[in-house]
Amino acid sequence: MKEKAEVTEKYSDFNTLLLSRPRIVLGMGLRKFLKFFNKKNQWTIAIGVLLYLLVLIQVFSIAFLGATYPCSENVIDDDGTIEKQCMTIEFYQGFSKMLVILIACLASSGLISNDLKNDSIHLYLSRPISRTDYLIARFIPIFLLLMIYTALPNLLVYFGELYDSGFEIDWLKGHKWLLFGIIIQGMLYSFAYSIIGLTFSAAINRESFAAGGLFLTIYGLLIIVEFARFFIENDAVLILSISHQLELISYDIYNLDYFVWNLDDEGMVPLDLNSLWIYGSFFLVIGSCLTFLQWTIYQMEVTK
Amino acid sequence: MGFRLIEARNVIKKYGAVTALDDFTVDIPEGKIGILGPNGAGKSTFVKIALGLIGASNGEITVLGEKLTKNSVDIRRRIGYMPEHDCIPNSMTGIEFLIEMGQCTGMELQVATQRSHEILNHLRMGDEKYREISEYSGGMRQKIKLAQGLIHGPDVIFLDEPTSGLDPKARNEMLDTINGLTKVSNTNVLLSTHILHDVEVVCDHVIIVNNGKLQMQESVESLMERQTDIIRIRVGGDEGGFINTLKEKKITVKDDGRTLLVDYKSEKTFEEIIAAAVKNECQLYEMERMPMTMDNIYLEVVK
Repeated sequence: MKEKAEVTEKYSDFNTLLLSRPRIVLGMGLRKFLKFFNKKNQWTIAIGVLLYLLVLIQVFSIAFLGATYPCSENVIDDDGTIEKQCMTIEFYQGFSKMLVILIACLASSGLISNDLKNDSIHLYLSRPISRTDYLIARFIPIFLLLMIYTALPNLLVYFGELYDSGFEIDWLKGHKWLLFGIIIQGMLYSFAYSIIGLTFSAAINRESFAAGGLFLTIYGLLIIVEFARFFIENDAVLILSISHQLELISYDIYNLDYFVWNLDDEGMVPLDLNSLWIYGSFFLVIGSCLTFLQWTIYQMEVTK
Repeated sequence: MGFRLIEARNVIKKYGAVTALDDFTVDIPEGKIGILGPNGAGKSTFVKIALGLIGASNGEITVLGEKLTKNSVDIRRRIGYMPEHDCIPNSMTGIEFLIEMGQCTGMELQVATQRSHEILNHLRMGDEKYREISEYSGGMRQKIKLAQGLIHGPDVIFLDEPTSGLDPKARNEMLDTINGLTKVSNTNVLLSTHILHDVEVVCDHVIIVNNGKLQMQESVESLMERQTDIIRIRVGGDEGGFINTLKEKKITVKDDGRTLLVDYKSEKTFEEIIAAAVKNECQLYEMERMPMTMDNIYLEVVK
């Protein structure tokens, strides 16, 4: 009886200091981020492991087999034609790129759609956070996860190369912008895929449909514009794909000329593209997504 | 009467062409307050505006002494909210859900954990708190929804139709829980409902809203005290003359469209009704004394 009375007193006298809004939002984001690594997200984890196996092979080839990083200039013809290859960007292409997009789709699709599906978004919005805070809290986990799968692998490759150079100061001086570039590029990809992923998650309140729709949009468009460019022979068509927009902006980050791998085995060919178009279309896509996201969340209580 | 929980001044809320709140002005005192009104009266809209979830088209609202135009987000640290619809994620256990809600309100993990266990113990959810919410009954889901609104020890909790969809047994249990938890923690209650019984059981003050306007505001006790029983009458013949005769004798008569309602004062009222019917050559088809309940008051006000 006495114990019961004590519990009641403790309950009735409850008074606690609540954290500030930024700390609440950060906490929400980090808790969601850690949930990516529990057993319910086994597919995301499995694809991540596969991605890191590829990275380790790359690190191994650089550190122990004498490959060069980030860019190497190879003579590819008898007449002395030189082809420049950049591994940092290379990592975002091919199979690895598909894995990164897959992870983005699987991880981001449930972030808002699940809250919409079970209506728990109303409980979150009734907490002392604004709607923008809620979106930030949902952005943090996917952004951090994608940084792990974009910037971190490239940093590992970077340090593999640094190891291969014998930790020489000259190598560091010669690549002083590389570290910065890797982080910026990772942030660019993570930011873009996070925003687009959250948009699909808010637009389609079924997780699996949101993931499928996002993958088809990003990867499907990538393939369509590649074929379209091949048939209509116009480079501008490439900027219709967000994946190509990101690649082209990456070339600017590493101060490279725009190029593309041709489908008909011609190797790398320079692209005739205007930077304004590339950046304009990128900001249009991201701006539209952000506007849609805000609109969706701001509509929440209005219709209920 | 102590401080005011909510002060609304000329609040207007429009959804396109529909006006949900129409120049709504009210002072809501501390305590347990019921907002009554039919579906679509504007109750939920008012609660959501008071919570800062939606903005008013016009007017001003002060909640717990703070103007919402200046502070619509941080004020929620002092408010708990239990929405009407089912909105609990099924994939979590009861305790996980409550801790998460506590942390989302700004509580430290340790405090949120301890508090969650305390509340769930009060709700007598011993082992159930470790089960997934998908396995909970309707009553348990409502309880856990109430608990998340009280987790941070708010000054006031807004309850939006807390008993909707519950069977009579679960409804009574829910009302007991609301009374129990809020009494122990001295939490003010703003109960929005269209079920009169809920207000009678929980609240000490009632506000009736209809068509976005305040229709009546009074304490439940004084409301019940000043109401007298009524006599329901159905007459044939010269109804106008019958009513005039009663009014001449200072008897209040109201027409609800189908029957006449006469205030009961004493047994003499029956005699005066019969005399008026004889005088106007009316036929008395029905005459029945009915006790005054919240239902009668509500229907009268809403009509």
